[in-house]
Amino acid sequence: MDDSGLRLPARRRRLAQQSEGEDYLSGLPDSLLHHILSFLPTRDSVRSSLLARRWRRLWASVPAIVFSSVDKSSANSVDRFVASRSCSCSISHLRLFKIKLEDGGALVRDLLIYAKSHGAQDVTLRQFFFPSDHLPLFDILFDWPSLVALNMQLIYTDIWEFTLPNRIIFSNLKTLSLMLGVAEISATSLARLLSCCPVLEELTLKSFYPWNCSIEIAAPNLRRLTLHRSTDLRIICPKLGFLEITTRNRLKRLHLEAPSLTSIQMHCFFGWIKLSRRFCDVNEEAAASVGDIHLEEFPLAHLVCYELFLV
Amino acid sequence: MIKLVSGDGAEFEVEEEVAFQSKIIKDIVADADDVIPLPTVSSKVLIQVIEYCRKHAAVNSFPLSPSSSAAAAASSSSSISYSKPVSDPALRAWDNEFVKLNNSSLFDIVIAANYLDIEELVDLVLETVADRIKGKQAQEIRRQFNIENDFTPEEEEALRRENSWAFQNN
Repeated sequence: MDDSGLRLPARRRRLAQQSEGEDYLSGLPDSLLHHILSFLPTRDSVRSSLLARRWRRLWASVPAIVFSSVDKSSANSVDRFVASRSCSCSISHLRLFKIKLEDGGALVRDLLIYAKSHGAQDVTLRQFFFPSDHLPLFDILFDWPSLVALNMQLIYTDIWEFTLPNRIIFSNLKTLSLMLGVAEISATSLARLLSCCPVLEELTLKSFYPWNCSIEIAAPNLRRLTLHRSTDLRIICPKLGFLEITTRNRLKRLHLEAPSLTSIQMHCFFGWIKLSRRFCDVNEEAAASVGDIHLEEFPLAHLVCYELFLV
Repeated sequence: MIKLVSGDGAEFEVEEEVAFQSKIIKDIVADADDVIPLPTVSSKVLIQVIEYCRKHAAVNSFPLSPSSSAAAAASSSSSISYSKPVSDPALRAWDNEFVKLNNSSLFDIVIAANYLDIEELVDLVLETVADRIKGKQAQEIRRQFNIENDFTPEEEEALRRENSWAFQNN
């Protein structure tokens, strides 16, 4: 670097010298203003066009689509927004909330296709009312090579078993959060899903599982795992550092092969004293550190593999 | 230790892992010496930026939060990054306190952070600014940020019509 140090461009330097009462905000470069608008619901972002000439078309290239509700009444807005957006601009994230598919199904499909064709990397679908006649939506959603993060929460569904599409391509997916409502996922479906996410680093799963079903999480790159409702678990994740398990039922079995683990948090309404005792049985040295329900910072690094059974 | 020199000549010695929260400083140190003049950053702003980096360096080095490294890896592949919110609740609370500043201080910090390429700090400040815009009427936003309305009333009306869906149900 030269000896004059880091120089800010002239415009920003002027900006830094402005006094209170000046319009700092409009003086920011477009990239930062787009970044600000990307945090807003799309509606607020479009409304910023009214502030001043500087703001008139900024919204049209914001790389985000965020609608706080998607149903029949929002169809018109969504269509008009998509039509007037600068179509060459990529999309970074798509976030849809309160999605009622019975009358907004076509809309969600169109938005997913639009976001995918514009390279979206981060998709959030929350409070998703999902009747089974919309299963083809998953064909679009689960075949998305550019996707890095997917967060989906079904809150109503008449699907009892969450069946995955035949074709799953998540070659870049690093973060996956699936909240499946009342639906259950079978051990084979889960295994197939994980095998289609080779670079997955963070997984949150809230689902039901078939009765007496042993669930296996085997993911070579997983670093963070949060599980709800599981009772019989095999976890084989060489890079896992953080594990959180919440279960309302008694955890029956936990087989853990996670040599990189630095933190376990377990929240369970029953059976904790027994679990602690079992920890003692497994490894007396480690047991000295276990005295409470909260097992954070428990030094597990030396335990390559151990297994717990609870009766 | 790395020495940072602010525009008004004040010197700040910081540990490498603190300074390396800034990607640009990390790159510079890799092929130059470890006194880094930052002539356009005032010491007032630099103190705040260092305070942020010190806090985050301490937390990020602790292996409990692998999600922050995952977020950084995920975002580095996009041109504009949208890191996930900080997952550590204590750090998030600290961040929320850190950004309780007036608009002009926030903009000073974001200009410095953007230039020093401290992604998480840029995200934090810009999200705070977005929160101050969210759900407000144009007139209110203009007043809050001293934005001068340079539209004629006719132009303003035309704009409202053009995107009428966004202005309904107020």
